[in-house]
Amino acid sequence: MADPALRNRLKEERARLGWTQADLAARTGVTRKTINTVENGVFTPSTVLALRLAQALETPVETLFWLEPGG
Amino acid sequence: MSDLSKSARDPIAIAERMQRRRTRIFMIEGILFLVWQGIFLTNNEDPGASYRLVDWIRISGFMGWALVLLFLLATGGGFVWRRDVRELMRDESTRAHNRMAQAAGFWAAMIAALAVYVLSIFEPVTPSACMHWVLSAGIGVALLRFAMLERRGERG
Repeated sequence: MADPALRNRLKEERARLGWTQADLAARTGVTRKTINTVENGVFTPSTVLALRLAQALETPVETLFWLEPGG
Repeated sequence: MSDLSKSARDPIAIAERMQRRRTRIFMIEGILFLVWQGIFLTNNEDPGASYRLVDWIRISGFMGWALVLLFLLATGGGFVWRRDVRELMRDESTRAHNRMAQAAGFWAAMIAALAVYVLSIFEPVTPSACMHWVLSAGIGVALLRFAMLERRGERG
């Protein structure tokens, strides 16, 4: 069975607040490259980073990230 | 944007600039290292010959270069910067890229070792040449893999 793919709505939540990737990076203590790779699904963030992102965007983590079966 | 956010962005801006610079350096160093070793290895060593001064200088130079590159791979560099900048330079995605690059380097070194093993059946290979192949493949591939992953992350 294929591993489920991690999806996110980081970009939409960021847009809702009118933030750039750099704004979110500054609020979560990572570089813009990390935000960019998470948004594009290239990089799977750790639990700690996922929680920090959710906290910064004032969104429940399960709204921000979810698993899509079958990749 | 608040002043707090602006001030918090400062080390991030520095770290991002340094990350991009590091990516370029790793890419250039990786290519140079592999090309240079290719030239080095085309000069067939006589297994029975003793080392001349020029050989000692060449081998020491290679070992020094390899050690510096290994150190940069292991630490990510940036020691002239403040701690917060250094930590950002090694943020989560960078550490993941580093692990992936080190894995790629490991497999490249193993393949090089197997290749040298097979080669040694057909012609004599000196121990230093064996080490050269393994180190060159491992370090060169790890540097290039890291630079490629970082570049992909920067571009999105």
